[in-house]
Amino acid sequence: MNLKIGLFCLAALGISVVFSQTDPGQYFKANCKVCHTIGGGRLVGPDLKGVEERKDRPWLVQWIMDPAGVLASGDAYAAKLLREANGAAMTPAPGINETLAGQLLDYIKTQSVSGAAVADSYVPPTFTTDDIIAGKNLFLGKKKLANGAAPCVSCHNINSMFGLGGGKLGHNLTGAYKKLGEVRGLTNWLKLPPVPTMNPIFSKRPLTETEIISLTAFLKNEAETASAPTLASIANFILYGALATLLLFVLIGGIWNRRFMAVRKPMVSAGKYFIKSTK
Amino acid sequence: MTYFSMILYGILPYVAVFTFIFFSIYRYISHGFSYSSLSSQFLENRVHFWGLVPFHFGIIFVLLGHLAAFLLPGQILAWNSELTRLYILEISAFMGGLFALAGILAIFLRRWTNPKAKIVTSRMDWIVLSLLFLQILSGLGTAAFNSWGSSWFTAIANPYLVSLLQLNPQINYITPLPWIVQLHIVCAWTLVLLFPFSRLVHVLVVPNPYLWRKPQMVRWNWNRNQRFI
Repeated sequence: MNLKIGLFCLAALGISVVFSQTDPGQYFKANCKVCHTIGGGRLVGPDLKGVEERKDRPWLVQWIMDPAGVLASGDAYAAKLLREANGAAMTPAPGINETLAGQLLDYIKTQSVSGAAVADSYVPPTFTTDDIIAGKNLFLGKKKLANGAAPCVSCHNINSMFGLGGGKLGHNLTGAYKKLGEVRGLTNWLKLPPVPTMNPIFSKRPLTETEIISLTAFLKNEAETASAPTLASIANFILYGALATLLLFVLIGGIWNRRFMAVRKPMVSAGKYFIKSTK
Repeated sequence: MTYFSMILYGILPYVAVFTFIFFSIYRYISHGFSYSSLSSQFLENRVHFWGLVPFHFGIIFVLLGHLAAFLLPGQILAWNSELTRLYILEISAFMGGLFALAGILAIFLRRWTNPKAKIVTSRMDWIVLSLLFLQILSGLGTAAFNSWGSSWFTAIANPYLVSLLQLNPQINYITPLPWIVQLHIVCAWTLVLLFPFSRLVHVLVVPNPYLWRKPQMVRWNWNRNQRFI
Protein backbone atom coordinates (compact mmCIF):
# COMPACT_ATOMS: atom_id res chain seq x y z
CA MET A 1 0.00 0.00 0.00
CA ASN A 2 2.72 2.44 1.08
CA LEU A 3 4.71 1.44 -1.97
CA LYS A 4 1.79 2.27 -4.23
CA ILE A 5 1.34 5.65 -2.55
CA GLY A 6 5.07 6.28 -2.87
CA LEU A 7 5.04 5.36 -6.58
CA PHE A 8 1.98 7.53 -7.17
CA CYS A 9 3.63 10.48 -5.44
CA LEU A 10 6.81 9.98 -7.46
CA ALA A 11 4.84 9.94 -10.68
CA ALA A 12 2.89 13.04 -9.60
CA LEU A 13 6.12 14.80 -8.70
CA GLY A 14 7.68 13.93 -12.05
CA ILE A 15 4.63 15.15 -13.95
CA SER A 16 4.49 18.40 -11.97
CA VAL A 17 8.20 19.06 -12.61
CA VAL A 18 7.80 18.53 -16.36
CA PHE A 19 4.70 20.72 -16.59
CA SER A 20 6.11 23.49 -14.43
CA GLN A 21 9.24 23.81 -16.58
CA THR A 22 7.99 23.64 -20.14
CA ASP A 23 7.70 27.42 -20.61
CA PRO A 24 11.22 28.31 -21.86
CA GLY A 25 10.98 31.91 -20.59
CA GLN A 26 10.11 30.77 -17.09
CA TYR A 27 12.71 28.03 -17.29
CA PHE A 28 15.41 30.51 -18.33
CA LYS A 29 14.55 32.82 -15.43
CA ALA A 30 14.51 29.95 -12.95
CA ASN A 31 17.61 28.09 -14.08
CA CYS A 32 19.85 30.09 -16.43
CA LYS A 33 19.55 33.72 -15.36
CA VAL A 34 21.82 33.40 -12.33
CA CYS A 35 24.82 32.84 -14.62
CA HIS A 36 23.79 34.27 -18.01
CA THR A 37 22.25 37.40 -19.50
CA ILE A 38 20.91 37.93 -22.99
CA GLY A 39 22.55 41.18 -24.01
CA GLY A 40 23.33 42.29 -20.47
CA GLY A 41 27.00 41.33 -20.43
CA ARG A 42 28.96 38.51 -18.87
CA LEU A 43 28.08 37.09 -15.42
CA VAL A 44 29.61 33.76 -14.36
CA GLY A 45 28.90 32.43 -17.84
CA PRO A 46 28.95 34.25 -21.17
CA ASP A 47 26.34 36.68 -22.48
CA LEU A 48 24.02 34.53 -24.58
CA LYS A 49 23.01 37.24 -27.04
CA GLY A 50 23.42 35.80 -30.53
CA VAL A 51 24.84 32.56 -29.16
CA GLU A 52 23.89 30.68 -32.33
CA GLU A 53 26.17 32.95 -34.33
CA ARG A 54 29.10 31.62 -32.29
CA LYS A 55 28.22 27.91 -32.30
CA ASP A 56 25.78 25.70 -34.22
CA ARG A 57 22.51 24.49 -32.71
CA PRO A 58 23.27 20.71 -32.46
CA TRP A 59 26.42 21.51 -30.46
CA LEU A 60 24.53 23.94 -28.23
CA VAL A 61 21.73 21.43 -27.57
CA GLN A 62 24.31 18.82 -26.61
CA TRP A 63 26.11 21.34 -24.38
CA ILE A 64 22.91 22.36 -22.57
CA MET A 65 21.92 18.75 -22.03
CA ASP A 66 25.25 17.33 -20.93
CA PRO A 67 27.95 19.94 -20.26
CA ALA A 68 30.10 17.52 -18.28
CA GLY A 69 29.98 14.95 -21.08
CA VAL A 70 31.00 17.53 -23.73
CA LEU A 71 33.86 18.71 -21.51
CA ALA A 72 34.98 15.15 -20.86
CA SER A 73 35.03 14.45 -24.61
CA GLY A 74 37.89 16.98 -24.89
CA ASP A 75 35.90 19.49 -26.96
CA ALA A 76 38.12 22.54 -27.53
CA TYR A 77 35.31 25.13 -27.50
CA ALA A 78 33.89 23.73 -24.23
CA ALA A 79 37.38 23.90 -22.70
CA LYS A 80 37.65 27.54 -23.84
CA LEU A 81 34.30 28.35 -22.16
CA LEU A 82 35.52 26.74 -18.95
CA ARG A 83 38.72 28.79 -19.00
CA GLU A 84 36.77 32.00 -19.61
CA ALA A 85 34.53 31.17 -16.64
CA ASN A 86 37.61 30.83 -14.36
CA GLY A 87 36.98 27.11 -14.01
CA ALA A 88 33.31 27.44 -12.98
CA ALA A 89 31.80 24.55 -14.92
CA MET A 90 28.36 24.83 -16.50
CA THR A 91 25.91 23.05 -14.19
CA PRO A 92 23.48 20.43 -15.54
CA ALA A 93 20.08 21.93 -16.29
CA PRO A 94 17.40 20.24 -14.14
CA GLY A 95 14.74 18.29 -16.07
CA ILE A 96 16.24 19.22 -19.44
CA ASN A 97 15.45 17.32 -22.63
CA GLU A 98 16.19 17.88 -26.30
CA THR A 99 12.87 19.63 -27.02
CA LEU A 100 13.25 22.01 -24.09
CA ALA A 101 16.87 22.77 -25.05
CA GLY A 102 15.66 23.70 -28.54
CA GLN A 103 12.89 25.87 -27.08
CA LEU A 104 15.44 27.61 -24.85
CA LEU A 105 17.59 28.42 -27.88
CA ASP A 106 14.49 29.80 -29.67
CA TYR A 107 13.77 31.96 -26.62
CA ILE A 108 17.37 33.23 -26.52
CA LYS A 109 17.17 34.02 -30.25
CA THR A 110 13.99 36.06 -29.76
CA GLN A 111 15.39 37.87 -26.75
CA SER A 112 18.67 38.55 -28.53
CA VAL A 113 16.85 40.89 -30.89
CA SER A 114 15.29 42.92 -28.07
CA GLY A 115 18.02 42.43 -25.42
CA ALA A 116 19.29 45.79 -24.19
CA ALA A 117 22.98 46.26 -23.53
CA VAL A 118 22.86 47.01 -19.81
CA ALA A 119 26.36 45.78 -19.02
CA ASP A 120 27.94 49.16 -19.39
CA SER A 121 25.36 50.81 -17.14
CA TYR A 122 25.99 48.40 -14.23
CA VAL A 123 27.40 50.19 -11.19
CA PRO A 124 28.79 47.81 -8.54
CA PRO A 125 27.89 48.58 -4.94
CA THR A 126 30.57 49.93 -2.63
CA PHE A 127 31.27 47.83 0.44
CA THR A 128 31.94 49.08 3.95
CA THR A 129 33.79 47.38 6.80
CA ASP A 130 30.39 46.77 8.42
CA ASP A 131 29.32 44.84 5.32
CA ILE A 132 32.40 42.62 5.59
CA ILE A 133 31.79 41.96 9.31
CA ALA A 134 28.10 41.26 8.69
CA GLY A 135 29.07 38.88 5.87
CA LYS A 136 31.53 37.05 8.11
CA ASN A 137 28.88 36.64 10.82
CA LEU A 138 26.43 35.27 8.26
CA PHE A 139 29.07 32.93 6.83
CA LEU A 140 29.95 31.54 10.27
CA GLY A 141 26.34 31.32 11.45
CA LYS A 142 26.80 33.84 14.28
CA LYS A 143 23.93 35.71 12.66
CA LYS A 144 21.03 33.57 11.40
CA LEU A 145 20.06 33.77 7.74
CA ALA A 146 16.68 35.50 7.53
CA ASN A 147 14.89 32.69 5.69
CA GLY A 148 16.32 29.93 7.83
CA ALA A 149 18.91 28.30 5.55
CA ALA A 150 21.95 26.73 7.21
CA PRO A 151 25.01 29.04 7.30
CA CYS A 152 27.76 28.75 4.66
CA VAL A 153 30.24 27.27 7.16
CA SER A 154 28.09 24.11 7.34
CA CYS A 155 29.46 23.04 3.96
CA HIS A 156 32.21 25.51 3.01
CA ASN A 157 35.65 26.38 4.21
CA ILE A 158 37.70 29.55 3.75
CA ASN A 159 41.46 29.84 4.16
CA SER A 160 41.36 32.47 6.90
CA MET A 161 39.53 30.14 9.32
CA PHE A 162 41.56 28.73 12.18
CA GLY A 163 41.00 25.55 14.16
CA LEU A 164 39.31 22.80 12.21
CA GLY A 165 38.06 25.21 9.55
CA GLY A 166 34.71 25.23 7.82
CA GLY A 167 32.73 22.43 6.17
CA LYS A 168 34.16 20.23 3.44
CA LEU A 169 30.97 19.09 1.72
CA GLY A 170 31.16 22.02 -0.70
CA HIS A 171 34.03 23.94 -2.26
CA ASN A 172 36.47 26.16 -0.42
CA LEU A 173 35.04 29.63 -1.06
CA THR A 174 38.29 31.61 -0.76
CA GLY A 175 38.46 32.02 -4.54
CA ALA A 176 34.69 32.09 -5.16
CA TYR A 177 34.60 35.87 -5.63
CA LYS A 178 36.83 35.80 -8.69
CA LYS A 179 35.59 32.46 -10.01
CA LEU A 180 31.94 33.51 -9.93
CA GLY A 181 32.31 36.78 -11.81
CA GLU A 182 33.28 39.21 -9.03
CA VAL A 183 30.64 41.59 -7.65
CA ARG A 184 28.10 41.42 -10.45
CA GLY A 185 28.43 37.71 -11.11
CA LEU A 186 28.54 36.68 -7.46
CA THR A 187 25.60 38.84 -6.31
CA ASN A 188 23.51 37.42 -9.14
CA TRP A 189 24.72 33.86 -8.50
CA LEU A 190 23.82 34.05 -4.81
CA LYS A 191 20.19 34.85 -5.66
CA LEU A 192 19.71 31.18 -6.51
CA PRO A 193 22.93 29.15 -6.56
CA PRO A 194 22.66 26.76 -9.54
CA VAL A 195 24.72 24.06 -7.79
CA PRO A 196 22.60 20.87 -7.48
CA THR A 197 23.30 20.57 -3.73
CA MET A 198 22.41 24.21 -2.99
CA ASN A 199 19.56 24.77 -5.43
CA PRO A 200 16.83 22.82 -3.56
CA ILE A 201 17.77 24.56 -0.31
CA PHE A 202 17.98 28.15 -1.52
CA SER A 203 14.98 27.91 -3.86
CA LYS A 204 12.89 27.52 -0.69
CA ARG A 205 15.00 29.64 1.67
CA PRO A 206 16.59 32.36 -0.50
CA LEU A 207 19.14 34.86 0.74
CA THR A 208 17.88 38.42 1.15
CA GLU A 209 19.37 41.32 -0.85
CA THR A 210 21.16 42.61 2.25
CA GLU A 211 22.60 39.16 2.99
CA ILE A 212 23.82 38.84 -0.60
CA ILE A 213 25.59 42.22 -0.38
CA SER A 214 27.19 41.33 2.98
CA LEU A 215 28.34 37.89 1.82
CA THR A 216 29.73 39.30 -1.41
CA ALA A 217 31.64 41.94 0.58
CA PHE A 218 33.03 39.25 2.87
CA LEU A 219 34.03 36.91 0.03
CA LYS A 220 35.63 39.81 -1.88
CA ASN A 221 37.67 40.68 1.20
CA GLU A 222 38.51 37.01 1.66
CA ALA A 223 39.75 36.67 -1.93
CA GLU A 224 41.93 39.76 -1.56
CA THR A 225 43.43 39.05 1.87
CA ALA A 226 43.41 35.33 2.68
CA SER A 227 46.54 33.23 2.46
CA ALA A 228 46.97 29.47 2.17
CA PRO A 229 45.17 27.24 4.72
CA THR A 230 47.05 27.20 8.01
CA LEU A 231 46.11 23.74 9.29
CA ALA A 232 45.52 20.31 7.83
CA SER A 233 42.08 20.35 9.42
CA ILE A 234 40.81 16.94 8.26
CA ALA A 235 43.88 15.17 9.71
CA ASN A 236 43.51 17.14 12.95
CA PHE A 237 39.83 16.29 13.19
CA ILE A 238 40.55 12.56 12.82
CA LEU A 239 43.41 12.84 15.32
CA TYR A 240 41.27 14.57 17.97
CA GLY A 241 38.49 12.03 17.46
CA ALA A 242 40.93 9.13 17.80
CA LEU A 243 42.44 10.59 20.99
CA ALA A 244 38.98 11.08 22.51
CA THR A 245 38.08 7.48 21.62
CA LEU A 246 41.27 6.20 23.23
CA LEU A 247 40.46 8.10 26.42
CA LEU A 248 36.99 6.58 26.42
CA PHE A 249 38.44 3.09 26.11
CA VAL A 250 40.71 3.75 29.09
CA LEU A 251 37.66 5.01 30.99
CA ILE A 252 35.49 1.93 30.35
CA GLY A 253 38.46 -0.33 31.05
CA GLY A 254 38.74 1.42 34.43
CA ILE A 255 35.04 1.34 35.23
CA TRP A 256 34.65 -2.36 34.46
CA ASN A 257 38.11 -3.58 35.48
CA ARG A 258 36.61 -5.94 38.08
CA ARG A 259 34.20 -7.50 35.60
CA PHE A 260 35.94 -10.89 35.51
CA MET A 261 36.00 -11.24 39.29
CA ALA A 262 34.31 -14.47 40.32
CA VAL A 263 30.77 -14.20 41.65
CA ARG A 264 30.60 -17.39 43.73
CA LYS A 265 33.79 -16.98 45.74
CA PRO A 266 32.95 -13.66 47.45
CA MET A 267 29.43 -14.95 48.18
CA VAL A 268 30.74 -18.08 49.87
CA SER A 269 33.18 -15.98 51.96
CA ALA A 270 30.38 -13.64 52.91
CA GLY A 271 28.19 -16.60 53.89
CA LYS A 272 30.92 -18.12 56.04
CA TYR A 273 31.44 -14.77 57.79
CA PHE A 274 27.68 -14.48 58.34
CA ILE A 275 27.40 -17.97 59.84
CA LYS A 276 30.39 -17.34 62.11
CA SER A 277 29.10 -13.99 63.32
CA THR A 278 25.64 -15.33 64.18
CA LYS A 279 26.94 -18.28 66.28
CA MET B 1 18.13 12.12 -11.48
CA THR B 2 18.00 8.53 -12.68
CA TYR B 3 15.42 5.80 -12.14
CA PHE B 4 18.00 4.05 -9.99
CA SER B 5 18.16 7.06 -7.66
CA MET B 6 14.36 7.13 -7.52
CA ILE B 7 14.34 3.50 -6.44
CA LEU B 8 17.01 4.06 -3.79
CA TYR B 9 15.72 7.30 -2.25
CA GLY B 10 12.08 7.51 -3.33
CA ILE B 11 10.85 3.91 -3.14
CA LEU B 12 13.25 1.94 -0.93
CA PRO B 13 12.39 4.07 2.17
CA TYR B 14 8.68 3.24 1.86
CA VAL B 15 9.36 -0.44 1.19
CA ALA B 16 11.78 -0.53 4.16
CA VAL B 17 9.43 1.21 6.61
CA PHE B 18 6.41 -0.81 5.48
CA THR B 19 8.37 -4.07 5.80
CA PHE B 20 9.73 -2.98 9.17
CA ILE B 21 6.28 -2.25 10.62
CA PHE B 22 4.38 -5.16 9.08
CA PHE B 23 6.91 -7.94 9.64
CA SER B 24 7.94 -6.72 13.11
CA ILE B 25 4.32 -7.01 14.24
CA TYR B 26 3.86 -10.30 12.38
CA ARG B 27 6.98 -11.81 13.96
CA TYR B 28 5.97 -10.60 17.42
CA ILE B 29 2.53 -12.20 17.07
CA SER B 30 3.60 -15.44 15.40
CA HIS B 31 7.07 -16.01 16.93
CA GLY B 32 7.06 -13.79 20.01
CA PHE B 33 9.85 -15.72 21.75
CA SER B 34 12.21 -15.14 18.82
CA TYR B 35 12.38 -11.47 19.86
CA SER B 36 15.86 -11.68 21.30
CA SER B 37 19.44 -10.67 20.70
CA LEU B 38 20.30 -14.40 21.14
CA SER B 39 23.07 -13.66 23.57
CA SER B 40 26.32 -15.55 23.11
CA GLN B 41 27.88 -14.13 26.26
CA PHE B 42 28.07 -17.52 27.98
CA LEU B 43 30.16 -18.88 25.11
CA GLU B 44 32.90 -16.31 25.35
CA ASN B 45 33.11 -13.04 27.25
CA ARG B 46 36.61 -11.53 27.07
CA VAL B 47 36.57 -10.28 23.47
CA HIS B 48 32.80 -9.93 23.70
CA PHE B 49 33.10 -7.17 26.29
CA TRP B 50 35.28 -5.03 23.99
CA GLY B 51 32.80 -5.49 21.17
CA LEU B 52 29.48 -5.31 22.95
CA VAL B 53 30.11 -2.27 25.17
CA PRO B 54 31.80 0.14 22.71
CA PHE B 55 29.46 -0.82 19.88
CA HIS B 56 26.28 -0.22 21.85
CA PHE B 57 27.45 2.96 23.58
CA GLY B 58 28.81 4.35 20.32
CA ILE B 59 25.86 3.49 18.11
CA ILE B 60 23.24 4.71 20.61
CA PHE B 61 25.09 8.02 21.05
CA VAL B 62 25.35 8.56 17.27
CA LEU B 63 21.74 7.52 16.65
CA LEU B 64 20.51 9.96 19.28
CA GLY B 65 22.58 12.65 17.55
CA HIS B 66 20.85 11.94 14.22
CA LEU B 67 17.47 12.01 15.97
CA ALA B 68 18.27 15.35 17.63
CA ALA B 69 19.33 16.87 14.27
CA PHE B 70 16.02 15.72 12.78
CA LEU B 71 13.77 16.82 15.63
CA LEU B 72 15.61 19.97 16.77
CA PRO B 73 17.28 21.47 13.69
CA GLY B 74 17.00 25.06 14.92
CA GLN B 75 18.57 24.22 18.26
CA ILE B 76 21.42 22.31 16.61
CA LEU B 77 22.17 25.26 14.31
CA ALA B 78 22.01 27.62 17.30
CA TRP B 79 24.49 25.40 19.18
CA ASN B 80 26.76 25.27 16.13
CA SER B 81 26.73 29.06 15.69
CA GLU B 82 29.85 29.13 17.89
CA LEU B 83 32.69 27.31 16.17
CA THR B 84 34.10 25.84 19.38
CA ARG B 85 30.73 24.26 20.16
CA LEU B 86 30.44 22.97 16.58
CA TYR B 87 33.87 21.34 16.87
CA ILE B 88 33.02 19.77 20.25
CA LEU B 89 29.80 18.32 18.84
CA GLU B 90 31.47 16.99 15.69
CA ILE B 91 34.44 15.45 17.53
CA SER B 92 32.07 13.86 20.06
CA ALA B 93 29.96 12.36 17.27
CA PHE B 94 33.11 11.16 15.48
CA MET B 95 34.31 9.63 18.73
CA GLY B 96 30.95 7.81 19.05
CA GLY B 97 31.40 6.49 15.52
CA LEU B 98 34.97 5.33 16.18
CA PHE B 99 33.80 3.66 19.38
CA ALA B 100 31.10 1.82 17.44
CA LEU B 101 33.61 0.91 14.70
CA ALA B 102 36.04 -0.58 17.22
CA GLY B 103 33.13 -2.47 18.74
CA ILE B 104 31.87 -3.92 15.48
CA LEU B 105 35.40 -4.97 14.51
CA ALA B 106 35.74 -6.82 17.82
CA ILE B 107 32.34 -8.45 17.26
CA PHE B 108 33.40 -9.51 13.76
CA LEU B 109 36.70 -10.86 15.02
CA ARG B 110 35.08 -12.81 17.83
CA ARG B 111 32.38 -14.36 15.70
CA TRP B 112 34.93 -15.29 13.05
CA THR B 113 37.70 -16.66 15.26
CA ASN B 114 35.79 -18.22 18.17
CA PRO B 115 34.37 -21.59 17.04
CA LYS B 116 31.54 -21.54 19.59
CA ALA B 117 30.45 -18.06 18.58
CA LYS B 118 30.90 -18.84 14.88
CA ILE B 119 28.63 -21.85 14.95
CA VAL B 120 25.72 -19.81 16.33
CA THR B 121 26.20 -17.03 13.74
CA SER B 122 23.64 -17.17 10.97
CA ARG B 123 23.92 -15.86 7.40
CA MET B 124 21.62 -12.98 8.34
CA ASP B 125 23.96 -12.11 11.24
CA TRP B 126 26.86 -11.78 8.80
CA ILE B 127 24.78 -9.65 6.44
CA VAL B 128 23.63 -7.35 9.26
CA LEU B 129 27.15 -7.11 10.69
CA SER B 130 28.56 -6.24 7.25
CA LEU B 131 25.88 -3.62 6.70
CA LEU B 132 26.48 -2.11 10.13
CA PHE B 133 30.21 -2.03 9.42
CA LEU B 134 29.60 -0.24 6.10
CA GLN B 135 27.12 2.09 7.78
CA ILE B 136 29.59 3.10 10.49
CA LEU B 137 32.52 3.40 8.09
CA SER B 138 30.58 5.55 5.61
CA GLY B 139 29.32 7.69 8.51
CA LEU B 140 32.88 8.25 9.71
CA GLY B 141 33.98 9.05 6.15
CA THR B 142 31.15 11.54 5.82
CA ALA B 143 32.03 13.17 9.13
CA ALA B 144 35.72 13.49 8.28
CA PHE B 145 35.67 14.34 4.57
CA ASN B 146 32.28 16.01 4.12
CA SER B 147 32.00 18.03 7.31
CA TRP B 148 30.09 19.55 9.07
CA GLY B 149 27.28 17.03 8.99
CA SER B 150 25.55 18.20 12.15
CA SER B 151 24.83 21.51 10.39
CA TRP B 152 24.14 20.43 6.82
CA PHE B 153 21.96 17.53 7.99
CA THR B 154 19.41 20.19 8.99
CA ALA B 155 19.46 21.71 5.49
CA ILE B 156 19.67 18.56 3.37
CA ALA B 157 18.60 15.41 5.21
CA ASN B 158 15.82 17.09 7.20
CA PRO B 159 13.78 18.35 4.22
CA TYR B 160 14.34 14.99 2.48
CA LEU B 161 13.02 13.04 5.48
CA VAL B 162 10.11 15.46 5.91
CA SER B 163 9.26 15.05 2.21
CA LEU B 164 9.16 11.28 2.74
CA LEU B 165 6.77 11.74 5.65
CA GLN B 166 4.59 13.95 3.45
CA LEU B 167 4.55 11.17 0.80
CA ASN B 168 6.22 13.54 -1.64
CA PRO B 169 9.83 12.31 -1.79
CA GLN B 170 12.20 15.07 -2.89
CA ILE B 171 15.22 13.05 -3.84
CA ASN B 172 16.95 16.04 -5.44
CA TYR B 173 18.28 16.85 -1.96
CA ILE B 174 20.19 13.57 -1.93
CA THR B 175 21.23 12.79 -5.51
CA PRO B 176 23.96 15.48 -5.77
CA LEU B 177 25.64 14.37 -2.52
CA PRO B 178 29.02 12.57 -2.57
CA TRP B 179 28.88 8.79 -3.00
CA ILE B 180 29.95 8.11 0.58
CA VAL B 181 26.97 10.05 1.96
CA GLN B 182 24.64 8.23 -0.44
CA LEU B 183 26.10 4.88 0.65
CA HIS B 184 25.39 5.86 4.26
CA ILE B 185 21.75 6.59 3.42
CA VAL B 186 21.21 3.43 1.37
CA CYS B 187 22.77 1.26 4.10
CA ALA B 188 20.46 2.88 6.65
CA TRP B 189 17.31 2.08 4.65
CA THR B 190 18.56 -1.47 3.98
CA LEU B 191 19.10 -2.02 7.71
CA VAL B 192 15.54 -0.81 8.36
CA LEU B 193 14.38 -3.28 5.69
CA LEU B 194 16.22 -6.24 7.22
CA PHE B 195 15.42 -5.27 10.81
CA PRO B 196 12.43 -7.61 11.38
CA PHE B 197 14.27 -10.61 9.88
CA SER B 198 17.35 -10.29 12.04
CA ARG B 199 18.35 -10.26 15.71
CA LEU B 200 18.11 -6.45 15.51
CA VAL B 201 14.52 -6.92 16.73
CA HIS B 202 15.93 -7.01 20.27
CA VAL B 203 16.05 -3.19 20.02
CA LEU B 204 12.24 -3.20 20.23
CA VAL B 205 12.14 -5.26 23.42
CA VAL B 206 14.89 -3.77 25.56
CA PRO B 207 13.52 -3.54 29.10
CA ASN B 208 12.07 -0.07 28.63
CA PRO B 209 9.39 -0.56 31.37
CA TYR B 210 12.24 -0.42 33.92
CA LEU B 211 12.05 3.34 33.42
CA TRP B 212 8.43 3.72 34.52
CA ARG B 213 7.39 0.55 36.38
CA LYS B 214 6.36 0.81 40.06
CA PRO B 215 9.19 0.62 42.58
CA GLN B 216 9.76 -2.86 44.03
CA MET B 217 10.11 -3.51 47.73
CA VAL B 218 13.03 -5.75 48.63
CA ARG B 219 12.90 -7.69 51.94
CA TRP B 220 16.10 -9.00 53.50
CA ASN B 221 16.04 -12.01 55.82
CA TRP B 222 19.06 -11.08 57.90
CA ASN B 223 20.24 -8.18 59.97
CA ARG B 224 21.49 -5.66 57.42
CA ASN B 225 23.39 -3.73 60.08
CA GLN B 226 25.96 -6.50 60.24
CA ARG B 227 28.84 -6.23 57.79
CA PHE B 228 29.86 -9.44 56.03
CA ILE B 229 33.13 -8.38 54.51
